[in-house]
Amino acid sequence: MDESAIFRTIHYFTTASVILPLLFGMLYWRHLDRGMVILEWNLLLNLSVELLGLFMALQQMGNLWVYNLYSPIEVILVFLAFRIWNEHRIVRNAILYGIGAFIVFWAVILLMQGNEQAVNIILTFESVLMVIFAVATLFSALNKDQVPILKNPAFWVSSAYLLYFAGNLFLFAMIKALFVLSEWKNAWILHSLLNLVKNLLLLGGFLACRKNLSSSSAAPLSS
Amino acid sequence: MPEEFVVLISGTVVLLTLALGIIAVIIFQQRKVYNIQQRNLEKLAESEKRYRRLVKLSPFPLAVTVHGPIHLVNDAFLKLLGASTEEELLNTNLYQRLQTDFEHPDSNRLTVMLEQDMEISNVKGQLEKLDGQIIDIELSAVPMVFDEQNARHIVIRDITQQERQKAELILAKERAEQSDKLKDAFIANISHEIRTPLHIIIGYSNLITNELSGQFYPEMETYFQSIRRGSARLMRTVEHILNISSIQVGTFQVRPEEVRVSDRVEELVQELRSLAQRKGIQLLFTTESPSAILYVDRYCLDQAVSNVVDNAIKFTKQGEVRVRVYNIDRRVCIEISDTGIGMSPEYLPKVFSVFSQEATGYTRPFDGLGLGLSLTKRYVEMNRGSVTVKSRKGKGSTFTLQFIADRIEDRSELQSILAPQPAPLEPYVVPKDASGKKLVLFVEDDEETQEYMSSILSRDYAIRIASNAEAAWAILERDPISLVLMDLSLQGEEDGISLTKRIRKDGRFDDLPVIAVTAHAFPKDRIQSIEAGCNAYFSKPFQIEELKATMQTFLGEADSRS
Repeated sequence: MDESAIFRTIHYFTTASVILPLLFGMLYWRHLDRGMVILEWNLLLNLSVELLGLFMALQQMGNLWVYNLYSPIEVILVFLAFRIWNEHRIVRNAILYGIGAFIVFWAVILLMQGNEQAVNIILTFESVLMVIFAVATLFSALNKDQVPILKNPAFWVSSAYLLYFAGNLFLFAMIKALFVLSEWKNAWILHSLLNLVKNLLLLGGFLACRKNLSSSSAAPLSS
Repeated sequence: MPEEFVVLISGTVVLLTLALGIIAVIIFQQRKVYNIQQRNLEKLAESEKRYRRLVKLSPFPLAVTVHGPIHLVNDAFLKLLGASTEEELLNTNLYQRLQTDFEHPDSNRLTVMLEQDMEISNVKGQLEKLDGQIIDIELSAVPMVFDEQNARHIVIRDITQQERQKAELILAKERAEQSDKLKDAFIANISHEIRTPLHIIIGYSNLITNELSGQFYPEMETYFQSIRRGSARLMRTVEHILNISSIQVGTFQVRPEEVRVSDRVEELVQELRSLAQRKGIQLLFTTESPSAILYVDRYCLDQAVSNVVDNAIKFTKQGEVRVRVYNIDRRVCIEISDTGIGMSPEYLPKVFSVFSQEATGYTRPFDGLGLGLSLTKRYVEMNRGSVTVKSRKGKGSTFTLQFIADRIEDRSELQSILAPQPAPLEPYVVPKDASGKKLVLFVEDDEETQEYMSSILSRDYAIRIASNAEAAWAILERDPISLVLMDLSLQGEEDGISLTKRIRKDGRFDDLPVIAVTAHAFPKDRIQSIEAGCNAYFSKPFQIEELKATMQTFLGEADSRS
């Protein structure tokens, strides 16, 4: 097996890891709070986009527009989940403004730059916003002092997105520059690993929902 | 390695480190806060456990409600509502069983107060028990947090028995007051009913004595004197009994006024001088405090002094009775000493008791009910005074009546006494009838009294008689009346007091003399008469000569002015 095949296998494997949290989300569907329900839908879309992207790649078709189209959907769904878990009015409003800003930015860049040129700019801007609001959600989880933090799904989800987007921020920013290098696939493996970490952490979030049910003293987490 | 990779790796490492750092800090901090929270929750749980134990053990009915439904009760509360197990009450709405007054559910203040977030203390209301019985309660409630909910800690006290006793007490008080009123009315009526016939008996016996003087057999003179003395004694006895009853019932009203004590005591001594002379003993009066003024009830002072002096004369066979007025600083003393039979040391503590006499039984040497000294003590004490006695058996007794002086003035400054006095007479032209006699209107509803007074007065005056106020008013408007003799109780709707007020309000009769002549003889009756506008007051029985003298004073003055 050549090096390219190994990287591809790793990529497929880590991409497929989204199935894990998705399955557990379905399993505990009735126990999910509103934020986790939204997230479950996002994972389903994510899996669909990945499958469609793969199919198009195998058919030698350009699939960048699929990913570009998915970006605002992911931002809207994840940000809405963050908004549900945040209690501070200013942060909740900031998230709404963040969604609006991203959609405007996304539309403008896409129109001006086109699919291929826009992808790294959109992903970079998305990463910055994600990091900011994931940190805000983590601090909000700090205030939920009646539940241990490891039993709080918001902690797992915001940690997942924080690590994923913080780790990938430079990768997304430099993706165009890396494409011209022959070793770019070595760099892309970082994305695959972080994707795996993200999915495992999201799995932790769904498992935390299950644990919440077994704890009688747990207070409702959704606002 | 290409430069892009270096930038990528170093930037990513920094960001990932930061992200992990943030996550680590969050985990650490939250665990710390969570542990503190857990400790607080444990303390809260322990506190709640203690609270539940206290509620259960409390002898008072306690319940915890959350917006009405009961969440916790104790055994006393179960007993109060007539429940046997907690399950019968838990989650049932207590507020639906509470009312300020079940008979007036619209004015239910109690549940409104409970639904508000306020503290309630000892609010009275009613509670419906499980069997439907309504009981009176006193409720207190404080807001609290129970099972993480806004709750009310409610304490209820059954006051049904207390309220019943209170109602019974009020009823008993009303009955007692009613009884007192009846007793008061009874005393007043008895007084009136005895005085009226006595007045006629004494009056006619005096009339017969005076008219037929010199024509009697010697024995007959003695008989009439006996009638007069017997009547006077009966009158005095009745007065004592009625006064002691009035004092005991609490209807005896003290109306203090300024009295020149020395002058008044001297007048009283003068009135009793003839009694002393008949017994052949000396009655002496001396004063060392001629300008002392007491603020006392005149009637009480008169009765107290008269009783003691009367007793002194009664119990002295020979020798003297001395009455002395003096003052020590601001205390005025009236000392009555006699050379009479005295009292034994054993009897002295009982001397002021009601109906007490040293000698009792069929062989007692002195008559009387034993009320005089008892009344004296009460009269004096009602006027901020005291009475003391010293006595030696066979040597005599000394009674000292002591009062606090209102003031002691230079005698020259004493111009008048401030008590309600008969209104001064203005110049008045006295009308006369055809025979030249002055017209006197006698307003009196008792026919025998009308007959007696007419027979006495008709020699000097032309008498017009009216039995009621309307008839009296008609005569007043028709005839030129010179003077009115007014009874206080009359037939019909208007009494003598009211009629006198009507006369005084009418400008035509401003100066018409009105003399109250009545069997209503209590001090309040005198005050009422004078306040209504009477110029003088006579209570039956009275000496007809005194009345005539007073009438002459009024009419004579008027004559001289006209």
